[in-house]
Amino acid sequence: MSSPHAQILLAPWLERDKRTGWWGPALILLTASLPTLAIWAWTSAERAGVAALVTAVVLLQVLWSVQFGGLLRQNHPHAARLVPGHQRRLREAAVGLWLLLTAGSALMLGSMFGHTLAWGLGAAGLMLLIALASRAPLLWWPLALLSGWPGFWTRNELWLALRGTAVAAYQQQPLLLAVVMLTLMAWLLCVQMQGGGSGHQKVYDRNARSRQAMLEGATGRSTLRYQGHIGLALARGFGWPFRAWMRHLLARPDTRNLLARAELGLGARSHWTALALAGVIVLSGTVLVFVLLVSLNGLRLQDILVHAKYGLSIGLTCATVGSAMGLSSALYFSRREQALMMLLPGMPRGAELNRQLVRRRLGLAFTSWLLVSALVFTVVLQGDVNDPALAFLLMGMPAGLLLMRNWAAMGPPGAQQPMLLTLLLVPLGGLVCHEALRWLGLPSWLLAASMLALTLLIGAWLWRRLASYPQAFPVGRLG
Amino acid sequence: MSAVITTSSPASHPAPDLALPSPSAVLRDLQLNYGSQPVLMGLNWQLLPGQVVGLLGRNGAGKTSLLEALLGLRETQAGSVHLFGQPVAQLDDACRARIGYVPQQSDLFDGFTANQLLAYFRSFYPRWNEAKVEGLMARWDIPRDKPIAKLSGGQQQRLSIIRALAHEPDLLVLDEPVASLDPAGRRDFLRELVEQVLDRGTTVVFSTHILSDLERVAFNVAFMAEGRIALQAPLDELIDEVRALSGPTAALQGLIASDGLKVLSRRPLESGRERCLVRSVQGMSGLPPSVLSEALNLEDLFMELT
Repeated sequence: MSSPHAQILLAPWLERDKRTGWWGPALILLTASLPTLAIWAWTSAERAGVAALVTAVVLLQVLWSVQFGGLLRQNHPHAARLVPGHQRRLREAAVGLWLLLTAGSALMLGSMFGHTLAWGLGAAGLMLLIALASRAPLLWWPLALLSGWPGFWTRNELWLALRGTAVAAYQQQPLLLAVVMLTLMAWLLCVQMQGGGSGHQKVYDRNARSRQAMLEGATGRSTLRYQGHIGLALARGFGWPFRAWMRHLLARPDTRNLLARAELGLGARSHWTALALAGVIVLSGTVLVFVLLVSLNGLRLQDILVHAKYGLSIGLTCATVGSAMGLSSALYFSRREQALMMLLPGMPRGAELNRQLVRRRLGLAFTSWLLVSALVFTVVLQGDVNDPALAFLLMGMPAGLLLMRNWAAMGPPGAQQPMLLTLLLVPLGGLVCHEALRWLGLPSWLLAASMLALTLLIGAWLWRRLASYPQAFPVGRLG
Repeated sequence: MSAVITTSSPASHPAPDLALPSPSAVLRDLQLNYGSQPVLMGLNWQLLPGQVVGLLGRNGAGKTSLLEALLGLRETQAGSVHLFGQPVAQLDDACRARIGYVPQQSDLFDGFTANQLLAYFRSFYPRWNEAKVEGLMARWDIPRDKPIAKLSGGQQQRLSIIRALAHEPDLLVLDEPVASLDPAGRRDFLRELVEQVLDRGTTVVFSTHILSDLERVAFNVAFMAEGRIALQAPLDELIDEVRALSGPTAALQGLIASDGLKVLSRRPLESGRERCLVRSVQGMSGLPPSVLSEALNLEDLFMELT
């Protein structure tokens, strides 16, 4: 590969956020390997091998998504007009990489399932769809809708006719069809790299804005500045509990609710009202899905709960742990607000602030975990203390301890860090504990007791250390 | 810039003066490093009640760090800061209620509306001038129910200023307060600032790069360089008293010695000549023919002293 193309393809890795290091790739690798690990633990090594191969192909698609995103970012309208050969080289790099990843996917899947050429065409088509949706993100909606609509793939006449024609053509002239399809797809890929002008500028600016909004949203920052009328209306709609609580507190300001008032300034997204509303929405959605499954498909609730218990235990625990982990971002990005808060009359300082902050946040984290766990334990696990899924619920217990830290010295948080830690703690930690219990033949309640003892011990030790830490606010000033 | 500041004004080594009112802020021997990089190096500074001080310095000179240290928002490695006679780390509530601060970034609390922001801060302060808030909100045309994130930079900055003025502080610290304002907005803000000082005798310290604004309102100018306040003095005095002298080194040294001139900076020129920035309270007796004297405006002073 000539040097300009190498530079173009290396760009997404060179421009990645240096502060967050390799958290992102680590998160992707961990997420991708979890299903293989679970299959290996619960079924057989042979099936795990197949899962590993499929995972590798999925990772190639993820790599393509990252690389094509990088190519789109480099396809700046000014560079397209002013830098000699820029657009052409971007196109060459896009098509070259696409062909390489297509060949890789085809060989891997073909070696396992046969039909190498067909797998190659499928992978090439999927990567083209990813590329088109990267440039026009609205495409993700119909794609998501169609992929989750099984009736379309089995009953839609237009789709069935198209598929039938393609299969017939492939069976008669597989090579010819492959060449025609690949050429067409390569051309479509090329035209995604535009040549400058006001239309290109408009698309580029729109995508840059949504990228920035996604990035800031992922790190817990407010994205209101990027929202249009619909986004603002949604924010207003979902923000009513926060506003109501704010009105209630500000109407009766006194020393007892001082910290609760100050806390409003840290933003609505990390506030207990937002967590409570999110909890209500998630639980209502879950109940609605269950009702639909029971009433439309005639399934028994008992059967659904048995099949869904691992998913619900892991998903809901991850949600509570993730909200506690996400607090570091919320605090870091409200540090300038905290500077103003520290000048407010009545605001505690030093060790007193550290203690009160941790007490409030730890209370919130522990309460939300306790409520979710109690609900899952009684409703989903039917109060069975020996149910292996309990291991996943218990992993959320010590998560709140991460809040007892030296906040003043924290560095800039990454978007992936809380997610990665949550995945390490809940599904992976739960899986390890689950297997350990099974291997040792121990009951789950013993794990609960050990986890409680460990949490209390570490918590007491960290609580004593809190007094020696510098004042928490403004967060990150010594980092 | 090769100029070397060779002497300090009285502001850099404040001595207690019984005739003066007790200072609003006293900073002594402040030392602040970011890692191995020194930012404040034994800085001494004093702000008197009713003083309006414009803080000037190059980008990265440490103005924001100094203002944050002044308010106790940033711990220093050494030195002390007292506000209204109290150590800055242990201010009581009454003392905190006397401080107003406009930080450099004004897009704060961006999920709140302007009304929510003002209600939020009003709940903490014992004194809140609602009439002033209402007047400024109407005059500066700030939407009350729009999220702060959706206000323009100028509107956000104006709102930040209203918030800081609403509890009628005795010490007002403003970090680049006019950076996002257009000339009309700047003029309006400066008028408000002057009224605040004339009405209530507020001590105001503000950093800015817009020298014309400083000339309009700052009665005192503090130049920050090399981690210290290199010079602080009333602006009109500086314009009257500071001159740039160029000439042979020997002739300049003779003139400085004979007239008791205070050397603010000196820079060697070619062939045994140099350029000195001097301050003369009594005026100069007469210049040797080989010495050239130039009057300086604020921009020249900024270039020479920072």
